[in-house]
Amino acid sequence: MKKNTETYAEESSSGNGDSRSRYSLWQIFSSMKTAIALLLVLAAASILGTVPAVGLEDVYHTKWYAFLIALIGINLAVCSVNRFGVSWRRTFMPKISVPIKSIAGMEESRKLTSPYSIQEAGEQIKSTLRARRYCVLEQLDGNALSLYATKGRVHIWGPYLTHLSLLLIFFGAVLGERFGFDGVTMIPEGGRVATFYPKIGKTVGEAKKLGFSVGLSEFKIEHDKNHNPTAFKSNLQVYEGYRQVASKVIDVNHPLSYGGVSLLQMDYEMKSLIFKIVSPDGQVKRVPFEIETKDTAHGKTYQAVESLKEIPMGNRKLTVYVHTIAPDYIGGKQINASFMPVNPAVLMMVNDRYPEHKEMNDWTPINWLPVTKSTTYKGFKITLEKAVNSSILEVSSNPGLPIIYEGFAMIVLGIFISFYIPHRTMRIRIMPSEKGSSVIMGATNLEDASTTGGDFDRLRDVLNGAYTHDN
Amino acid sequence: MTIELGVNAFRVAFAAYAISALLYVIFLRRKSGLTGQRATLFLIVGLFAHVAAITIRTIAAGRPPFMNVYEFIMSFTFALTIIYLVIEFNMGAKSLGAFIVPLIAIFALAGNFMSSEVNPTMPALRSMLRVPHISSALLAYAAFGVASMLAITYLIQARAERTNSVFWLNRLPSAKTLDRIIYRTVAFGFFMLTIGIITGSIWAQVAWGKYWTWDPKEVWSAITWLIYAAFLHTRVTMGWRGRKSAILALVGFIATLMTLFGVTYLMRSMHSYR
Repeated sequence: MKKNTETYAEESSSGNGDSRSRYSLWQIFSSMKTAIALLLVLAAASILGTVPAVGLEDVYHTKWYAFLIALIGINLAVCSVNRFGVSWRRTFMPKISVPIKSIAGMEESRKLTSPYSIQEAGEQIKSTLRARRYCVLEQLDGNALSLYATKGRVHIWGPYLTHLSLLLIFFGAVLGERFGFDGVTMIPEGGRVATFYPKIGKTVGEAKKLGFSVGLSEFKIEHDKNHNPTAFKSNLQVYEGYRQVASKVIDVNHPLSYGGVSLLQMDYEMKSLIFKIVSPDGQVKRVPFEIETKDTAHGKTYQAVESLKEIPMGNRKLTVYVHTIAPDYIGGKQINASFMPVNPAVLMMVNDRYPEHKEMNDWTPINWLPVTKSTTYKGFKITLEKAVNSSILEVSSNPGLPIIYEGFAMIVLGIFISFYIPHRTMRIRIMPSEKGSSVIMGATNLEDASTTGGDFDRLRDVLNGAYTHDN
Repeated sequence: MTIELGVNAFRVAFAAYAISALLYVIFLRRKSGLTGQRATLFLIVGLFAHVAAITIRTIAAGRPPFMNVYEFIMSFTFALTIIYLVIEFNMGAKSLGAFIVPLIAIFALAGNFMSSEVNPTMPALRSMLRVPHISSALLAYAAFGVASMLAITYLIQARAERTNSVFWLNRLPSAKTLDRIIYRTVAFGFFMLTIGIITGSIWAQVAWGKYWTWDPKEVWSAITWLIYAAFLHTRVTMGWRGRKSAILALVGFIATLMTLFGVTYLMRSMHSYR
C-alpha cells in the first residue's frame, strides 16, 4: 500500500529535527510512540487496581496514577500544538501545484489522454467534481493546469476535536476535585437540616454547612404488584432562612439541584414506629418507639431502642413489649424481615398487669401487626399507625461538570467526524499533448478506495478520454 | 406464559443459529453456493425468532431485556448477528460466517443455560439512560467480538498468502480487505464504547452524584477503550497494518471479555447483575 504523503508529512517533519533537539522533552511528548506507550502503561496500571490479590484497589487515587494521567494530558496538548499548523494549512491553504511524482505516488492514480484542450478539460473536470461536492482550487503554471479537489475537510479536525475534548474532560475533573465536594446528610420525616457530612475516603468528616436548609415532608416507598420496590421518594423543600425557594419529590435517578448542589436519593432508615392506642373508655394516646438500625456482616438489623413501654391510660395501664421489628421487604439482606409483603410490621406482647405480673404467661402475644393495621386486647385498640423514616441523601457539588459534559459532547462529535466523514483529496495535472491534453490524477481517501475509482471513471467519461496506464 | 413463549423463541433462534453455523462451516469446506445460501437463510430465520424472543420478553417484562446474564446474552448475540450480517451483505463474503456464526451459536447456547427468570427492576435502574447506555455497550462488545474473529481470519489468510495455500486463498477475502474490515469494525465498536462510557457517566452522576466511581466495570471499560485507542493510533499514525493490528484487536477482545463477563463473575462491582 502506498503511503499517503500528505498525512505522513507531519510525522516525518517532526522526526527529522536536528540532533540537538531530537531528545528534548517537547520531542518526546510529541512522539506517537510515547503516546501509545502511555496509553498501554495506563491500561496496565488500571488493571492492577481491579485485581484484589495485588492489594492496590486504591491505585486510582495515588499520586503516580495522577502523574500518569498528567503525562497523557501533556502528550495530548503537545501533539495538538504540533499538529495545528499542518492541519490549518491542509484545511485552508493547501498546496495546489505539486510535482507529478507526488501525484503518481498518491494512494490511487491514473493517467489518461483527452481530445480536449487544457482549458476545456479543466472546465469539464471542475464542473464534474463540483457537482460531486468537491471544493476545487486551481493554479496555472506555464502551460500546465493544476487542480486540487477536496471533500470532507472537516475530517482533519476530527482527531483534533477528540484530543481537545479529552483535555477538557481532564480539566473539568481537576476543577471538580479542587472545588467540588461530596457528602451525605440524613433528614427525618418532618425534620429539616442545614448541614452535611463530607466524605473522606470511606468515612465521613465533621459536619459542614450546606448554605441553605432542606426539609423532608414525606418519604415514601412505592411497590409493584409483586411488592418489589419501584421507587424511593423524598418530598424535599429547600429554604433560604424561612423562605421556601425550591421543592421537588426526588427519586433515585431524579435528584434536586439547588445553587450548584445536588441532593440525591441514596438510602433511607426507619427511625421510629408510632402506635395509636385507644383505651376501652375512649382515651387516645400515640406512643413512639425509636428504632436502631445496625449493619452487621449478614445484613441490617432493626431493634427498638426501648422495647418495653408502660402506658397509663385513665385507671388502667397497658404495657407494650416490641419484640421484633420487620422493615419493609426491600429484597436486600434484611435479617429480621418478615415474609409478609409491604411492611413494616412488628411482633409484640402486651400486658395490662405489669410489673406485678411479669411471668411469661402473663403476657399476651400479638402476631405480626403490619403498619396501618389494628388489633384488640382486653378492650384496647392498638394500631401501628405509622413508620417514620429518615431519608439519606447524597450531597454533591461539582463545578467541573458543565466542562466535562461539554467534553463528552465534543468527543462524540470528534470521533464521529474522524470515522464517518472521510476526507478525500484529488490532485489533477493537465498538460498539453499532441492530441489535446494528457491528464494525471491522484487521490487519497483514507481507508475507503472504492469511491475514488468511481470519481476517476466519471472524469474519464466527461473528458472523453482513455486511460493510458492503470495502476 | 408469555415469558415462556419468549424463552422458547430464543431456543428456536439458537437451533437455527446452530444449523446455520454448521452450514457455514460446510460451506467453507466445500464452497457450495447452495450450502452458503442455506447458511444465510438459517441465520435469518434465527434472527426472526430472535427478534420475536426479544419483543415478547420486552412486552411481557415491560422493559428491554438487559437485566441479567440471560437477557444480556440474548441482546448481545442479537447485536453480533446484526453486525455479522451487515458485513456479509457489504462484502458478499460468506466464508467469514464459518468463523463468526459458531461464536453466535455458542453464546446463544450458553444463554439458554442461564436462568431466564424475570428479575424486578430495582429503582436505581429505572432511568431514561438505560437503553442508550446498555445498547451502545452491547454494540461495542459485539463489534469487538466480530473484529477479533476477523483478526483470526486475517492471520490465517496472511499466512496463506505467504505460503500460497490455495485452500484459504480461494475462500477468504484478501488479507488487505480483511485488514480494512477489522479497522472499520473496531472503529464502530470504539465509537459505541465511547457513547456507552459517556452515557454511563451521565447516569452515574444523576443516580450516585459522581460521574466516575472507579467501579471495576468502569475501569475495565476504560482499559478496553485505551487498548482500542492504541489500536487506532498505531494504525493511523504509525502505519501499523495487518499482523500487528490483528494481534492488538485480539488483545482488545480479551479486555472486552473481562469488561463483559469478568467483572460480573470475578469482581465485586455495582455492575454485577446476575
